Amino acid sequence: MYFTPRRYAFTPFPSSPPDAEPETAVVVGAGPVGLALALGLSRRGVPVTVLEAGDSVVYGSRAICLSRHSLEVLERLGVGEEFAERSLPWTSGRSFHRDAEVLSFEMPHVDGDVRTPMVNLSQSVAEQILVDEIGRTDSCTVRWQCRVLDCTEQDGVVTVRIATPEGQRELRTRWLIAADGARSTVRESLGLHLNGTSYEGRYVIADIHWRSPLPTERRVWFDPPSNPGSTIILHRQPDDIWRVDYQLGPDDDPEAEIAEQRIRDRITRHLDWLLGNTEPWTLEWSSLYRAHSLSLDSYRHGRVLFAGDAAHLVPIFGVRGLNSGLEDADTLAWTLASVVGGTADPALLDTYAAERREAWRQNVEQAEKSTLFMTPGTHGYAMTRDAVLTLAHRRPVLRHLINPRQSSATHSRASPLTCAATRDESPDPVPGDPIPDRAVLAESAPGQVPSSVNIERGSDFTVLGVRTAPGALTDFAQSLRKRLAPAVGVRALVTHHGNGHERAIPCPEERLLDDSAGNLESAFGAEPGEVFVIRPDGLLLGRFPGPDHLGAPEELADHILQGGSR
Amino acid sequence: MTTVGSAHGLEQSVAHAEFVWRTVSEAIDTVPESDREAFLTRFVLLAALDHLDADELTALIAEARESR
Ligand SMILES: Cc1cc2nc3c(=O)[nH]c(=O)nc-3n(C[C@H](O)[C@H](O)[C@H](O)COP(=O)(O)OP(=O)(O)OC[C@H]3O[C@@H](n4cnc5c(N)ncnc54)[C@H](O)[C@@H]3O)c2cc1C
Repeated sequence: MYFTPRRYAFTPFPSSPPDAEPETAVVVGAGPVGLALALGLSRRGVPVTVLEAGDSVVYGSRAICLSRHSLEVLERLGVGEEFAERSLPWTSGRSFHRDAEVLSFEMPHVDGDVRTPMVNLSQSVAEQILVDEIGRTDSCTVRWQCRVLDCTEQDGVVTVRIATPEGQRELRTRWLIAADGARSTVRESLGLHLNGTSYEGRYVIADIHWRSPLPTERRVWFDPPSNPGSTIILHRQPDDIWRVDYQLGPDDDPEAEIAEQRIRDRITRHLDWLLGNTEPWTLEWSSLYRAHSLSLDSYRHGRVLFAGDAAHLVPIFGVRGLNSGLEDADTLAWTLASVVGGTADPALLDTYAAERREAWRQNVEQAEKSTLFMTPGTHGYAMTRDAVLTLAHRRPVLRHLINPRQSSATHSRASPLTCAATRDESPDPVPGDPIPDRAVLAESAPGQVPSSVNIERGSDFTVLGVRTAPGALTDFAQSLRKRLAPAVGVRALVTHHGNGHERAIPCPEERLLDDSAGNLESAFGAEPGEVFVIRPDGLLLGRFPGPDHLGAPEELADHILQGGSR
Repeated sequence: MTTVGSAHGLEQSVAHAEFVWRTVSEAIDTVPESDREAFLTRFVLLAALDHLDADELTALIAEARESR
């Protein structure tokens, strides 16, 4: 069964009275990024209203591949389990040139990883899970059938004009977050433009219902005998839905190609060639796609903040669109909540904007290579692409050019928040990098419980000591917590090697993790005694040779709350 | 031939392969279509003259021919 969207009614509401206190935060757009951000803010005590033009979540799955890092973000929002249950995990892919295999790749994963590098789930289902969770969350409301017309900022208040089924309304808010997608009205209303590159090639994207024995892996055919000259990508989704993407040639008329019969012909030819397919299938949804690498110059304009596709676009090859939007939501939730809560300077939001703009640049650097390969827009790139494909079985290094460079979490090494490395040759992760999650055993009163670094961190700042002396982090964590509250919590985690000695000393502030297997220590390239300060969004703020090198907690708190000044 | 001795070595070989791919693609795009084949022939002659001895040249010609 393909997705059947649930329809939501308009719930009447009055305009904000001019003399009343404005709303705290309004999010425009109930796409996955707006929804994740709204949940993240409300989890940190910020009341949020989401305004959505439509009356349901998206129909037609669009994003299907969610990265390990996105699952971590969703876990922090409290919906990780449902995403894990409903999605299909995968780790590998294969590419073929004509009928010969030219690449078989595994995405990076090692023993002790908590999640697979990627899962497949339709964007419609992903959005519905988030909407349902918001329905169970206090102080977080989605207002359906509310199309934002424009916004203006004056005297610290943003006024939003909204078209509703019962006429126009105006809402006043302290902070407005534009998560209204690629054609953002908020962006247009502020006279802002995306800059960058748009690529020539077009792809038809189709979801089909098909019972097939093929495994859950990414498969790509370049110039397949079924559709010479084209490139075809196949992905399995849950419930026997398959995503088929194929490239149109420069002479194909996109309007004619999107006709149902044309799509059916092309896909039938491919499935017949591939498996001698006799299994009937149905076309459920289709769309035309063109790749773009575009971004706003800044994601903050006064009291208006941009996230997701409203701020930036990346080509789908390598699946970075939604995955990077969820990173935006994760970082914006704790930074904006800290500003709203009155602890942080609004400069922290400039840091959000700078970090996420730089993340877009990192994404584009990778996505651009995949796009030039998947949809070579010029004769030169088409000629070299074909040559690379024919030489790949002899020259293994060329297979790296075929590899889709699937999305991985971006870093913030150059962020003003990131504390410079204290060792000359710091091993990975270096400050600014996303930390690896690893399975650990957490000590608790009845005994050890299987856990992971991320479960133990939750959505707080974390001071992680690697075999540090009992109590060495206690004062630091307590003082830091006082300064960062209420929007952001602070936890202290300390690893040990299971000799029982450490456990004998009660130290309630420090959660003990048994890392006898050394999984965590090796993943962090850590020396005994080293201390890691980890941000709520999983980026490493800094690594310090020992507790004595952390400096004063007040100093670190000021550094964070001022958006980075240390 | 590409020899890959370490992670760093692999990174360097991949970076070089990317550079070759992109530079050659963009070079082809800078010449008019009518000159494309002649340009590529000139380019191969120059690369061979400056960087290949007789055995290497013969081996690479054979490899390119067999890879069709
Ligand atoms: C074919 C395809 C495949 C993709 N595959 C992947 C993938 O596998 N992995 C991945 O990471 N990314 C993928 N992407 C990208 C991904 O879909 C987007 O990056 C993602 O949807 C962005 O989410 P968003 O919430 O920012 O914007 P959107 O999903 O566009 O949501 C914006 C919301 O705002 C609402 N809205 C718009 N204007 C207004 C207004 N004026 N007032 C009120 N509401 C408004 C819209 O109705 C919509 O609900 C894919 C995209 C496409 C097209």
